[in-house]
Amino acid sequence: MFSEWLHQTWLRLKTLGKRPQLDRDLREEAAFHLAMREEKNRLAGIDPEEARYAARRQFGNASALKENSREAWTFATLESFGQDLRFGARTLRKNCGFSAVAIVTLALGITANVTVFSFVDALFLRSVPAKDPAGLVRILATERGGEGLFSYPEFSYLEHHAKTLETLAAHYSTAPLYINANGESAEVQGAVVSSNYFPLLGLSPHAGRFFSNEEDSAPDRDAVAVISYGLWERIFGADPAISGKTLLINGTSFVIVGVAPKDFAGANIGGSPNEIWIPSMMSRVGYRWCDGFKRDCTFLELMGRLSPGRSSQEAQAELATLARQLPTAGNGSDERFGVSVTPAVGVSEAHRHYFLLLTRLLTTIAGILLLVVCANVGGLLVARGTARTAEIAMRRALGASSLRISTLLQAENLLLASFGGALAVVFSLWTSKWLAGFYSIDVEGYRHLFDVRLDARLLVYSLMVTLLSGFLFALLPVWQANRVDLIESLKSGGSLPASSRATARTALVTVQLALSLGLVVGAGLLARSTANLLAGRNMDLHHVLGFRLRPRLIGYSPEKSQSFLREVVERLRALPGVASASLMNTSGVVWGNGGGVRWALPGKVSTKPADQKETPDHEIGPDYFTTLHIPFVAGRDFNETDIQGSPRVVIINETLAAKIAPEQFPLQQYVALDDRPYQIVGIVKDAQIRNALEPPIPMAYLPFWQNDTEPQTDARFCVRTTGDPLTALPSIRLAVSAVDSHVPITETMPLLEQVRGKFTDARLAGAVLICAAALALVLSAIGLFGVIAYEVGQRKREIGIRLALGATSRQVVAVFLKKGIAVILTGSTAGLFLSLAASRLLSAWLFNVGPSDPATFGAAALLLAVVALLASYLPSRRATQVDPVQALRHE
Amino acid sequence: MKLKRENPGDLLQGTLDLLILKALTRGAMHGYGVAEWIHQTSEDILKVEEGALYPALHRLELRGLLSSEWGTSDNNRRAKFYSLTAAGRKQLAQETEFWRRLSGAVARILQTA
Repeated sequence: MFSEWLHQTWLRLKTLGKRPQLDRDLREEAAFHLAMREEKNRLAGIDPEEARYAARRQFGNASALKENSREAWTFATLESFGQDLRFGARTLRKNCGFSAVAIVTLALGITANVTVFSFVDALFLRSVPAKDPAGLVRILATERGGEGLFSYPEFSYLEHHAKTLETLAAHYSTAPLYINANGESAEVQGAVVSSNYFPLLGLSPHAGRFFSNEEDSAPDRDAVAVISYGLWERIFGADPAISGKTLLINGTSFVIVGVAPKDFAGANIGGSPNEIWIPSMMSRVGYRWCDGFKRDCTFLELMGRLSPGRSSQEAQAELATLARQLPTAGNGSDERFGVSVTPAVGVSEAHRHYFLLLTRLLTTIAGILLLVVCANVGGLLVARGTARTAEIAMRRALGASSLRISTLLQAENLLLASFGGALAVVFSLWTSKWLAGFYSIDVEGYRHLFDVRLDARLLVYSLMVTLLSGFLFALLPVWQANRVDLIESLKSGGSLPASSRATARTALVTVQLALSLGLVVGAGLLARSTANLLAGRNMDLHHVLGFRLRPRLIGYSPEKSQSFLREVVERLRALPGVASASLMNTSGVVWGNGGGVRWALPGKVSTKPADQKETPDHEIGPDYFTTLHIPFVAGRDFNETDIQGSPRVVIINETLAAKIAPEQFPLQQYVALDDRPYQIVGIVKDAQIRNALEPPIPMAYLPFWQNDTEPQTDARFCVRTTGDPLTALPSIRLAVSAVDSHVPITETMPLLEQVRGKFTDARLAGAVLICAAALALVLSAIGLFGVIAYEVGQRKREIGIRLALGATSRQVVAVFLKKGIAVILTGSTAGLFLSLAASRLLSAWLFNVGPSDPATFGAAALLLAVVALLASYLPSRRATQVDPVQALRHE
Repeated sequence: MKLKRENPGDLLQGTLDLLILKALTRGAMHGYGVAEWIHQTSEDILKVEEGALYPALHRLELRGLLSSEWGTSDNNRRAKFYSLTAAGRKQLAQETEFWRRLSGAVARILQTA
């Protein structure tokens, strides 16, 4: 069988260059046959003329013979498809305008999908930047909550005993490191890494060297650092003799031993790029929340390389066993945990959920947009199909099978789609950068590591979307083409069995309108949500600068910190251009809820803590509400006398007030917080950022200076300025460093920027939805315009008669407007139901607006109706320009 | 008789192929000769639409069962002559055997009635 196929292909290839000869041979063979037969017939006594015809009759269809033989000798299907492609290209070139519109429309739809995929690609499919990423795995601690992190003793035990892993490295890649060098200071995201971290990734330094094992063997001994290429350029002017230079990291002096490769920014996909690396033995400099060498201080991520021939399942089984054998810390707490081993690809599991939600939403939006685009291009093709009815009918009459016609049309559509796809890849180079740009800065002002680029996966995906769209938009037109009524269309010289085409187009436009309304509603909801976020409810973040002072990073005691912080507040208040200033514990208004306390009415304190209710709490200094413009409902603000030792006081928000005493304001009442009585001295409005899924948040505000159980060392500041907060920043910095120039001042951002950073996903989803909705709306309008214009063109004669019989132009326009309105009504009703069902999907991103917000729905429907009405009115007006005499004479 | 496009399961096509192969056992022949032979030996029962013969010849040639060369006919015209290859002979033997068994079986079934 195979040898036969080989033989055939060989013979076909041999004839490939000799087509004219093949044709000649075929002709000659047939001619010989006919001549012989004719001669025989003549010899049998038939008259010469008749003899020739009889020979022809007996021979049968000569051109069919030629076709059949040619098919045998050539790569027929392939070649005819090539022919179709060439023909398609000619047709497309001839209808330049049509092609351009269709290609650009398709390109926009495909771009949306490719862009979203570039996001997915950068987040979920990108390997950790390493020499041979295939064998790299991430190891997560499971079954004990948190983000899957390990403590140093756990890492060290696993690293010693694991046989399934060739290398096991630990890293803490989100270390806020405050550096001073060459008279400059900067806060950078650094990493605390075990000495085998760089060898594991197979990197070689740009200059100097990486850490030796010796340098990572004794706690706090070897203060050595590797800096990033960017930092080397920025702070050290790309000094070639960098090795041996020193810099201060969080107040400790470090010796620089090397510079990392140029494009290496750490192993944190979708996280912040690292700019400095220090050995894990120096973790006390980089990590301040607990002692990095204790068994219960989990802060390290683990990454390893599988031993040759080992699978991640084997590694997982072994590590899980080892984890159970770990010596305990001996403090009686249950420290058992599980282990999961996964390929080191994409965002780490801990942050996956957050991005999954977002990418799912974006994929849905892009998918809907692609449907709208396909419906639009499909509509264009159906319309053009009308013009080609005669051509198709002729082809059918000449014996082309429906398969053959479908192939012909599909070749054309494939060309359209391919051009669209190619253009989309070009567009997406720009749009994916735009999308990633949303993540350039997070809530703390750090950059994010979003490596969006064109890779093979992206190209394959583009190709798939292109083929899919080519198939989708061609469905209806090709089906229509094969339903051409041969006799009718040949008879009428190519004018239409038009009604079914018109119906098909109307249906397509209705679908477009419905989907567009869905997108417009979504866009409206998210736009309102983003606006609400920035406007704030019961608070005003405009002209407020935030920053964070971190004496903890340089090892200050709480007492020393607090006197420093107190002094800073005083100085800030005295600054010109500062309206008011306050401070809070580490969680801010933007950041969310901070810790939590148990509350109960005094005298009703339950002996069982489980029976008590929880409320988030927040430690703030005096003037906090003034600075953020959060209104008081009753009572007073904290003042300078609310300090340690004075009577415990609390300010609560309305939600908590309603829980404590539903009937009346519980002002001056006492409430037990963590079993200690506090007097309620003030009640404020709810000032919170929460999405449509979250219930109102109760809040207890406690005085910053009154905390005697766990006094704060770090603090976030909020400063209301009279002008632009960034203009006031230099003088604020000066005021702070005048008190103490060593304390790191970080996260200096206007609070509005923080909000933007924190709610990136809502803004991003909103921006994408708005673009998609605008595009969909325009496309639907074009579609509707086309349908009505076509209708007007088809009914010219009828219009002529109407006008001749005395109809006013207004009446004529009304005929077509009615048709438009019918389509709009059907489409938008379907769209409204669709939106009602689907808008819930947006809940997680909807702030201070519900998923079925009537105002948004109404506005969206109105917008769609106005645009669509305009799109049907414009072509309807053409009906009035019909000259009755000409229209009637035309037939 | 109208032959459809290549359809290996088609009994007619298979039959035609068999007849062609058989015809060529007598030596190289041009297409017209094959047609005439089939007419005469089947005593005009099998009527081949003569045009259909050529695609069949070409296909057999492509499958390597026939070889062809241009030569001169009895009346001094240029004609393409086909002859059996070794593979062709083998194929013919197989097909003949198959036909014998098939027709034998059909005959037996008909006799039982």
